[in-house]
Amino acid sequence: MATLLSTTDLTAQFGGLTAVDRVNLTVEEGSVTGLIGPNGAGKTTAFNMISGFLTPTSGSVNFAGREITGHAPHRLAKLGMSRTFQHTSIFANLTVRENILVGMHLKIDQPFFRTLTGRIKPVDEDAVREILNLLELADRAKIQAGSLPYGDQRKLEIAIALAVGPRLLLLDEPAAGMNPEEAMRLVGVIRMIQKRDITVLLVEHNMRLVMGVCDRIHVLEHGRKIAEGTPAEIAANPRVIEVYLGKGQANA
Amino acid sequence: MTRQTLTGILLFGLAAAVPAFVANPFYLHTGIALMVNIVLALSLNFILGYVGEKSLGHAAFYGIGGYTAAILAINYALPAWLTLIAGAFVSGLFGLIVGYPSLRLRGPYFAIATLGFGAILQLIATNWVAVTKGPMGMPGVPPISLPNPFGAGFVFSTERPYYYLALIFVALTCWITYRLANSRTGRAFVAIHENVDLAESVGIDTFNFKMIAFLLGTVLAGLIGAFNAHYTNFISPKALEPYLTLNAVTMVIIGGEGTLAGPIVGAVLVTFLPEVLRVAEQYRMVFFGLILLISIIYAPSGIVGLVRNIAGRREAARHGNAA
Repeated sequence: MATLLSTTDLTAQFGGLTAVDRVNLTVEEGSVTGLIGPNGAGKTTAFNMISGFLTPTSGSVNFAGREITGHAPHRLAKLGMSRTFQHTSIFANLTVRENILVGMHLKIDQPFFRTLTGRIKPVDEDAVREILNLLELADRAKIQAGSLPYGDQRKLEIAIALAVGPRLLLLDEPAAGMNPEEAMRLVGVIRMIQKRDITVLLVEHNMRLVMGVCDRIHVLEHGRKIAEGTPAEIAANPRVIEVYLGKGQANA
Repeated sequence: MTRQTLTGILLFGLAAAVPAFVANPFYLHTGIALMVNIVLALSLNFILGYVGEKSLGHAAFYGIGGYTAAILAINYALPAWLTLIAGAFVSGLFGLIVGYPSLRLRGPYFAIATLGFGAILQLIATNWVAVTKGPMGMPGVPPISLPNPFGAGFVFSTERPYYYLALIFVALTCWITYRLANSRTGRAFVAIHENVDLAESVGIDTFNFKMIAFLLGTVLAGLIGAFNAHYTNFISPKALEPYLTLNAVTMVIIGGEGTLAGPIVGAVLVTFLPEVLRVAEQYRMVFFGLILLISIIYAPSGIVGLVRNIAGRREAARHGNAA
């Protein structure tokens, strides 16, 4: 498998605090890769640097064979990267369908001046329906996104990110606030995304989800990478167990 | 044809028929003043209503259009079609200068930049006497005339031709708003308003679309400012007063930001309320401030939003009864 995304010595400093410290990550094309770690480990900071929302203090990010360090998020979307956010992030006053249409921004060929002069091309309704069906939101299409129940809002977030048509999808704690049943459903959704040749990198707290869906896992602690491997390797890694359960538990 | 288009065509037909029945120039004059306000409100609506960036110097762009047209027409005797275009163009140019650095930044910088720009422009118009004739303003802006290659041009000597030209500008502005609202560009505007990070992450070049909205607004404000200078034959620093910006903001907010009908409804209210309140002229601004405050607290999506909510609730109730 080819490497789709890699970071080299990725570092983020805020004043004297080093939130992410020389982290090297690789994400293979077609994989589901997890990024885990206790609170404050620097997962979301790393995520923000990869997705262009935060410029790294030093180090670099490579995506699909080119260096993208410090590129604005909208440029990364054009290259095939989209993301969700830790806190539910949707267009609350738009309908579910309109949310998807905004997500398809790059696929709709309608420059500003042609909007005024030419015929407004109808949008690809099949593509909209396909995404709504995938996330089981088809019957909600006309509902205002802000009035959806929480679980549906989290699904809509993923739907918007998928509408971009990404090669790499970054999911920032997609299961946060979900009940166990919803979280297990999410495993199915992520598998379906993987089947569509979309690579997934996810930050997640829910261990069952991470262990159940990831091909490979990177573990961060205090901004440093402390382990990398398959779910089985990570589950058996004494250093990881120590971080999660505290000293002494590893031998128990 | 949708109900919206039909209503629009009907309203324009009605507005176009008014001069045929109304002979009193005062009523036509009020109609023109209303239409100037409508274009001003709709032009501000692009950046304030759709994109949600607080533009607090809109009067400055209206004034730039007016002064540009006045200076070119008085000092250089340029024809009106050219001064109108020049007014729009120069206003857009200043929009570019103000927006380019400040729309890149997050936070209140754009609001501060536009507010400051408005204040500076008013100072320049008042004090650069050699060019603007200072606080007394520039009288004698010639009326608009249409060129005629075969003989004498058609000079706008009564209210009627101005009324129709203003109606054309209103139609143009409404049409642009209508087209945008249903397009990728309009959706990008609203997406930025709703959630700028998410908009960026789906590939919307947010700076670019903010600039489009702002330039569109400044160009149209400049155009209608130039029109008004020709129509009233006069321009003074009063055209740049913050009170005019506040008026435009009030129209957009109480009518309903980010809609086509909202700023029009707002413009009607703001134009006619002072006439109704003539008895208490001094307290006009107090009254406007109060209306703005009440609107923000109780109807944040304006009158249009309020009507939509009630209609939506009725619809829901009807479905509830049927079930």
